[in-house]
Amino acid sequence: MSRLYFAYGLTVLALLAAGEYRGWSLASVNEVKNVPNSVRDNPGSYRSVYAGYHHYVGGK
Amino acid sequence: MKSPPTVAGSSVTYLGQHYKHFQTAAAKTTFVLGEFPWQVRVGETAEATDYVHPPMVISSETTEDKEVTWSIGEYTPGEDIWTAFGLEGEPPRATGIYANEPSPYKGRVLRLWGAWLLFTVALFVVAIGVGITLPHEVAMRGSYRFDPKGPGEASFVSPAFELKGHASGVAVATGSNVDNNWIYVNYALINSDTNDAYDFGREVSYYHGVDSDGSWSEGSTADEVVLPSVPPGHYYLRIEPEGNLMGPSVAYTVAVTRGVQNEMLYLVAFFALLVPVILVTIRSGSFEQRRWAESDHAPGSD
Repeated sequence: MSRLYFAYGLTVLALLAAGEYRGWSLASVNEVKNVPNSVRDNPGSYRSVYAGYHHYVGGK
Repeated sequence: MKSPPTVAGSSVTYLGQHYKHFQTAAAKTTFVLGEFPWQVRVGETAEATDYVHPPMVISSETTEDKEVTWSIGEYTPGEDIWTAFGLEGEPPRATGIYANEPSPYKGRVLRLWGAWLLFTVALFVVAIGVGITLPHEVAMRGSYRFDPKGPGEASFVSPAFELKGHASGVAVATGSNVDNNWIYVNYALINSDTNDAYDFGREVSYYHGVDSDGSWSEGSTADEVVLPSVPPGHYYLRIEPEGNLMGPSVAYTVAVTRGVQNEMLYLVAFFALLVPVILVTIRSGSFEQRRWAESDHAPGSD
């Protein structure tokens, strides 16, 4: 059991190192291909998939 | 046994080992078959007490005329007895946990917690080492203002910037002076070399006040997200703020940083290391609970 856990722990640390090197993240990001060049000159021509998201406007 | 054990309270000590009281019961001989080292008769009664130190058990039998007989035994798995008698087939499966049955977790729990401690220290060392070596290179920083009542298109693009090195995480930090207010920023990190984009949105909201429970606050004036595995190249950021249409104008800052530490990964690693140890500890506790459930000291019986 301890040997198994030792191997498991080393794997976790190795994955952590790989994750840090490659920049793994749990962030919710949408990858979009072939964004038109015109966005640079006309930012309004592009609409984010997150636009119009319902926002929290409360407080306690 | 060469000498009787030393009785101290509800436990006994024999050859330096401490045996816990397990059970005391009235035993009655109802049937006799086989060979015995004493003269046994049907109808005899005795008070039988077991003390355990798995895999060992010490038993005392006190007869009606106060004669005490001590004996010691060692747990033997059913498979061993089955094999010793040369029986065919498979032995019946054991049910429950016997009084002196050795725990498969004995010693393991402590060793696992020791290993967990070592790995946690290693995790901190890695975190400090990575924190020191990562470049934390700010590729773009800008200060902006969003007026919800302002006319025209709110979106704009940042100046172009370069992300160097290998594909790695990129942090996009948003700070704002929101006060009982919110701002939501739609971002698109666009690679001008490939026209591929990372599209995401971040909200910064901060509310506070005082009520009958005292002062309270929710949210924060700062936010940071790490985009995964962003390849090197030339980029610009499309920024589109949204806000409370009835609220005041809001100042906000945006910073793009290459080579940042992702704390969330360490948190995930910490729990990944902790969970198996907790599971084994729970299973070990459950094993002992099932053992003692059959004793005079069953949990919850006091």
